[in-house]
Amino acid sequence: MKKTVRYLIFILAAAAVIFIIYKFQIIRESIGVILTSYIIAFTLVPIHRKLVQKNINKRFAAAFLIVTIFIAFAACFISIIPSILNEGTNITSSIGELQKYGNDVLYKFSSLRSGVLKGIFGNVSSKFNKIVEEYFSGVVQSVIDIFKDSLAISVVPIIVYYFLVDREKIGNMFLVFFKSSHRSMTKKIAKDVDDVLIRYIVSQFILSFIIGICTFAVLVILHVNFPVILSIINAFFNIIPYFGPILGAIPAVLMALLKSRKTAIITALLLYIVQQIEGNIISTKITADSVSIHPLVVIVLLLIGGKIGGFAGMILIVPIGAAVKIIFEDINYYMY
Amino acid sequence: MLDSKKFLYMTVLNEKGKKIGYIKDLILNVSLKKVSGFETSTIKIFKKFQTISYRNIISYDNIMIISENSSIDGIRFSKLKSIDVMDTCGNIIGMVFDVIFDDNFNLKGIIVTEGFLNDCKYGKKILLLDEIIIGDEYILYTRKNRFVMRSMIHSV
Repeated sequence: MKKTVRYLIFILAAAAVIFIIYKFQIIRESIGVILTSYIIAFTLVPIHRKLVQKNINKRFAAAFLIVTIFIAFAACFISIIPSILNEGTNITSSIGELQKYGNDVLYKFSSLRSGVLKGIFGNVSSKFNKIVEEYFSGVVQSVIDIFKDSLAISVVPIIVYYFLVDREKIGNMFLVFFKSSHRSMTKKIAKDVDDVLIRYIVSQFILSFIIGICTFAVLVILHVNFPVILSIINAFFNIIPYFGPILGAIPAVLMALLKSRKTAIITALLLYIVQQIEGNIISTKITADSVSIHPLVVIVLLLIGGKIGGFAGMILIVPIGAAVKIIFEDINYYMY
Repeated sequence: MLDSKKFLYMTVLNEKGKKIGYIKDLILNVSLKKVSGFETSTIKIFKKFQTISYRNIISYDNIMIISENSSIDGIRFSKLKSIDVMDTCGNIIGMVFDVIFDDNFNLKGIIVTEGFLNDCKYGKKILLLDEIIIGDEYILYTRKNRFVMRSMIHSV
């Protein structure tokens, strides 16, 4: 009886904490900042470890890493945003060209079909216009929003620095929440989750990087416009397991369509070949498959992640799902 | 007592300290009652896997150091992992969860699980190697001994 009462109190307390987090905006935002900096620190951990292995001082390595990353980020921002704004006008004209192309295609059909298709296509193209408009203005809006919280921005590097340098100490602070008899098991589970997540992150980065370079090569060879942006988009979307490569390839193929239908088909084919090479040969070597999640489960996770958090949700939910699976497997193992 | 979880995904280095791969699977030899080796991944592009024999292991703890590769064959543990265990009356008494072996890589037994909730209440069964016959689709449990060993859930 006593045990069930204890569990009930624990669950009630956890529910109360979650409720408070949802209710109060301030707490949500600060937790958001902490979580974002934790994720950034986590992706930097493998590089930091490599630097420490080469006998560079821990704190110096962390500071150096953060400064480099943020300078690189700022440089990208400063150079990409004007070029995006420049090419933004080009993009709208490119989309206009796409629309004209679609109209031409329809014109060829209109001799066979009635005006109904034309009306439908007019509807679809105006809706498409609106969606693209909303999407781009939404992107600009979110960029402006990020800079609004400039206090949060300046705090993130500092939090990342402390997460990198004092990881073990912070981990020990969290261990206090568990019973001391559970300590060794909790440490082992935390180490397992750590190892797998870091391996996952490293392998995803390497794979995306390779895909980015191959896409860049393909686009440059075929003289498609905006190769840099398109290869960055493709590399970025490749982090998502099954939907990512398709989502990333679509903009590239659309841009190639503007050159000619043949270029589009060749682009699609070459990108598909690149994807196959990466998937079958390179990824099996690099991804140490520590967690074999069934593809069906991955797809369901992606759908849930997309619903919860959009693209960021889709990217984050696979490592979170892997971590949960590892925790369950380890508990199943250590408790017997 | 060692089991597969300690070894799976363990990094393997050769004597010079170069990483060869990570352990993907165990290779069992049931007739000799030994874990004859491990199957590891490779860093070469066109080779899918390589095998190492237990005789070539120099040390293992967090990472494994071996002296050289050799070609070993046998049953892969991953084939056994979720096979059903049936007793002589035809009842299925569980699924294989793990194998147990000692420091000299002699196979001792298998751990059989009945499912998460049942395990919480009744524990996992441990069957000794001389009580079981390993087949293609099932493992036959010939109940030679008069008692069954169970590993109950315990707080850590």
